[in-house]
Amino acid sequence: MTYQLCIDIGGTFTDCVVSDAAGDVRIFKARSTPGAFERGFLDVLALAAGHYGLDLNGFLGQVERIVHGTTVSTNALVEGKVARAGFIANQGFPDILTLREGPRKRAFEWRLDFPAPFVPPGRTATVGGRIDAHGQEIEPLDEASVAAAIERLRRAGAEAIGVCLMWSIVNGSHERRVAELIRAAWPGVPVTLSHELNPIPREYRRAIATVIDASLHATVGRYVSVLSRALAEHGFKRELLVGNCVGGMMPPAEIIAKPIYSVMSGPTLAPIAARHLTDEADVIVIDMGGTTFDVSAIRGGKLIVTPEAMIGRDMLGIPKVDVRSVGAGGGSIARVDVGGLLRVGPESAGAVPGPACYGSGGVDPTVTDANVVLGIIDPNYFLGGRIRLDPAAAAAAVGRIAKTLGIGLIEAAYAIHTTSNHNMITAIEDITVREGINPRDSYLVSGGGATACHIGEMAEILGIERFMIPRFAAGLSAFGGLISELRWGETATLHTDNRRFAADAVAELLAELRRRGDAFLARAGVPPGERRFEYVYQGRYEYQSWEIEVPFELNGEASPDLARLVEAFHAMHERVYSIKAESDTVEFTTWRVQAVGRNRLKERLADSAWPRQSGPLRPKAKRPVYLHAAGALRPLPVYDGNVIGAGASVDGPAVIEAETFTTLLLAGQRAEVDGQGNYLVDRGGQAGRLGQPQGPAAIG
Amino acid sequence: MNGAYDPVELGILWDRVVSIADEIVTALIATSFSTMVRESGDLSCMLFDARGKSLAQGAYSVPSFTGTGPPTMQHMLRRFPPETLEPGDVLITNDPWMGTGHLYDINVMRPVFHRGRLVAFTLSVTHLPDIGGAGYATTARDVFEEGLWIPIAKLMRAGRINDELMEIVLGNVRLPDMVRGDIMANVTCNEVGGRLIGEFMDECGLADLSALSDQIILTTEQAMRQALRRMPAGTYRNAFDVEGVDGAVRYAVAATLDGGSIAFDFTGTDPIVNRGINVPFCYTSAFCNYAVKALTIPQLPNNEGAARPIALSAPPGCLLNAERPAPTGGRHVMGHFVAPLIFGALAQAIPGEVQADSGMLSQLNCTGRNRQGQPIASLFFASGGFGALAGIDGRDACPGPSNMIGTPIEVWESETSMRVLHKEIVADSGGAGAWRGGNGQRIKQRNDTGHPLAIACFAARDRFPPQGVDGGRPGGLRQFLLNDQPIDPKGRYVLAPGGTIETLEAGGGGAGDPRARAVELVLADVRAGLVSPAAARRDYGVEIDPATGRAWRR
Repeated sequence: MTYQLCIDIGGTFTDCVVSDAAGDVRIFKARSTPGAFERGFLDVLALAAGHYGLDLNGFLGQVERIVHGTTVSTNALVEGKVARAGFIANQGFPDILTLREGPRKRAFEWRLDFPAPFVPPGRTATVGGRIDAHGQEIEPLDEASVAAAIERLRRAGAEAIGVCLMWSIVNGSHERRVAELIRAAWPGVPVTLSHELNPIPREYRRAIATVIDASLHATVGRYVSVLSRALAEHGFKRELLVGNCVGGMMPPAEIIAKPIYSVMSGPTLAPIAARHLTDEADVIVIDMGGTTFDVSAIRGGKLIVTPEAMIGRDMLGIPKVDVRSVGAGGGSIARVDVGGLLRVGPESAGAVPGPACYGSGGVDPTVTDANVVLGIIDPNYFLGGRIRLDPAAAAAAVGRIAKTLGIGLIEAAYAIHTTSNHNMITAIEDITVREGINPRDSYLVSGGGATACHIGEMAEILGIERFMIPRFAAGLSAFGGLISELRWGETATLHTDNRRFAADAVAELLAELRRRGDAFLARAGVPPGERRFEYVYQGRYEYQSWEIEVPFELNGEASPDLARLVEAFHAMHERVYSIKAESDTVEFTTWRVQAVGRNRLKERLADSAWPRQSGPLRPKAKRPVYLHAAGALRPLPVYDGNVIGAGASVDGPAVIEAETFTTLLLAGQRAEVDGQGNYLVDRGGQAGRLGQPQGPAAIG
Repeated sequence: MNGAYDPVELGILWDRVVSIADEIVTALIATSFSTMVRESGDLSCMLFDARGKSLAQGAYSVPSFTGTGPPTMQHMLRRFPPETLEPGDVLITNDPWMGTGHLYDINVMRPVFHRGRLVAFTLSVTHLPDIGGAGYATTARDVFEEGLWIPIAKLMRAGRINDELMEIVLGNVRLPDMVRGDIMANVTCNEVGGRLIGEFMDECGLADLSALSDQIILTTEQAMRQALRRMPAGTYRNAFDVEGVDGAVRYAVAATLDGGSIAFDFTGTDPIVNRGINVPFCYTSAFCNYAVKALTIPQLPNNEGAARPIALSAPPGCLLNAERPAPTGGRHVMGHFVAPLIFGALAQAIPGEVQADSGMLSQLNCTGRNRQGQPIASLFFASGGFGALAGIDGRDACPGPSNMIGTPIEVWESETSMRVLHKEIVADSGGAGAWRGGNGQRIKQRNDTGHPLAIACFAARDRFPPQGVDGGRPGGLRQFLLNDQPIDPKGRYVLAPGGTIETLEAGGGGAGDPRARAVELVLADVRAGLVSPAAARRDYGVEIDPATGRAWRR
């Protein structure tokens, strides 16, 4: 067992980042294969195996860990290609998914659209019976109404069923009985029960997560099963781990049981990668792929988890690492709208047919085509020369925009380039403003194969002084999955408070959660010495209803020390809100054990330094590239990013081409290569302001 | 350019101060004890510069409070001029005429000191669960019955709580724990705001916010004046009846548009009534500001600039300028009508750009004990349908002009032990139109507390339905039922254990001729259960064959 790897499937490319026993890391890319994403998965594995001189079986037999960032559920939801879910609710409450939680509107905004509910009324059915807030049955389940509801959903063409009944979180018996009746009447239809999936109070959040989950069962189940089987057939001996939306990982059985957790699985790995790449406290993480542009952030060294993530026009209902996605990628299509304004995206040429310059039948002008016309991308060195681009096709496509707008070809290409930049900047500001992060004072990690062409100008506009283009920028998410610790959270609800603390019940619960987490780590092959456990509870003052998360330690005891728990709550409340109320009752609601499997890879990487630069650095060529400051194409030096050694630096304006990305440095931007082969760019160009300079041997 | 900052800098700094106001809201919601704040969003947070000029507000603040807040700030500075304030001071008041129009809201203000200088103020406003007196209702005959009056006073002096004041307040209310928790949540969020402002000034190298605030205010003012200049000058009148207590109350307005400014005169409005639904001037003013901003520059963040082009007058003693000691507990039930009154007047100036009437909010204030015997005084918000606008259907069950959120049923049931029996959208309650008015909803609750509960109702639109625009039909009327018998939606009742109260919320008005509505939109509404086949035929002239699903216009 010598290899670890992570495969991240995006809309256009499937990335695979592999580490060998010595900690040498390589990235491989293959075209994504929408409709049958598992093909691209195996294609890229075969590519990697070939690099190590092995066949697929020989290679997989030596792989000890595969983490997977999948796009299958996000794609299905965004494109509306999920199963048609039916929704079963209590009698009297058919409109939970329409009414949502208000939804709150900006006071002055009365031009409101009216989003249709995730499940239309025609596939909603209600059943008699009621549980109250204390878990008591105040009206027995009306089984005849359940039978009628099942029949109604079947006739309406439902393909999966989500069940969310009032107060199932304190007494799930009605939901469980409904599931039994569904399974008896309609064997094989996927069913999600709200109290099992998302045991939180507030019916809309629980219900929406439930129906989204139900709608994903077939897609995710089929995909993960096919993939697991294919991997096993090719000699992989462990369980596949799928990155989930809360920054953890789930083995096949768990992700198939709760497919909603696979939403945005790949993009969630990008901020995880950034956290391992830099020690900066506030970091903006961007990743421009072929189809979408994803933004996330690290604040105070921590991933930002939001309980109110949106997917389309609905809440996801479960907590998720906050990653915003907009339709702005290399494949985004440029067009001129009815008002004569240039628009770029959100429509994308995707992987097939792709940008016009791919020569695969695409005719629409895309951002990549514009970058070819501008000379930023060398058509003979795209993906290290593995894909030859057709500059004539790019020029023809962009030329149509130029003609419509009545401007020159280069001007049109730059208009597409910079419009795309502003689209991305809007998305960045959306998340930084919300999180109170000032872009000008933040560090930025620029991931994605297409981002590096754009980051120079975006940094200028945003006023970002320092940013990083990681060596594995083109596979940032995949790198995150490779380098990350294994994380697995087990959560349960147990209400108690500091006046009547249920010490024994809490001890029992924590032991059970820890046992389950430990079993997960064992299954994933983490040796006992590499396992550790983190404990968190959610608490609030009596009468408050929004909890805060409080980490605590067990110190080898079975039951947490009450005094320390309470003290930690007051301290956390004071840290977050500046006040505490020490005489108030503290309520504990939810308990979580996070099982963590250490990943030794990070230490090995630190040892395997990128070779230092020896001798003077010379450009491999000069080629004309459009510089907006000059208003024209200018011959710029082009450096071979694959051979620039650690410690060397390049001053803009210049182009650096590596196998998987091309970056255009603007005047005043200086890139320095660190010991990992990452490019640290300082906009001021002043030495000494870099994060961790690896010996400033400014040679370029 | 309006000042010291270029458009890019101004954009960034402006976004930052608005995001600080948003963070204050977040802290307030997270730390509050009562459901009206933490679940329904009955709150506002605002930021002022060192001169007391309003600079920013949380994006989701309610429009009444953001309109009353700036005058409240001025009253506070008159009572405690800046030189009498020191770091750690916090001011409070619930005066209806200087605050929000009734005693139930507290206004909590904190001066922000940074590097030894007074640089800003933050103000938060929330609705308290109780303020003593006869309890939150419309039934009082004067303001003294309505509860405890807190003058503008220092709640904290240099970081130390004013124990005597706190003792007076907590000694006068039914839910001292919850009231103390909500007051302290206001203190907390302002503390958070002060911290964020200091960080922001350090990060951006600002010693003072005045230049920024001048530029933000001027930019906003100019944008509003420009939008007002696009409307034809002239005087536009509107008048209608609103359900009072012993019959209808006449509202009248004359709106005069003149070269980038607008003035409202409410002469002709009936006098105050002998019940707690009278509207202090500050509240009337807030809804003038709301209506004009919604019609001119809805997308710009709110600040003092959006109030400058607006002037108003109302005869003292009329319902929209009630004077002390008139009772004002339910002033919002009547005060919200200022918005449709103005919309109706300005629809003559800008036809097609004004929204039809909305079904508006209703509230039930439930006081008594829950099943565990704990005292409760909890407010249940429900929305009627939103008015349609040419091009946009009104949203079902969506509040207007205010923007409160409905309480999740599970949160409501666990706190009060009330049982919600149903909460569903009512088909055909929205006004028909080329653009359909939003449907209302039907909510029925049973008293499962085991104790009698006092229920105070706050609602209108039970006699005069929300009107449509441009040929759109009116929305359905509101109705309240106690044990299935109709009751006064402004009354106070005792709900016996096991008894029920049901509210049918009014629908929004439609926009445009219903017969101009696309057949496929009518069909989609019928399929979704929002319009009945009978109403499709009667109101829209659309026949639907249930066998084939084919639809056609007769």
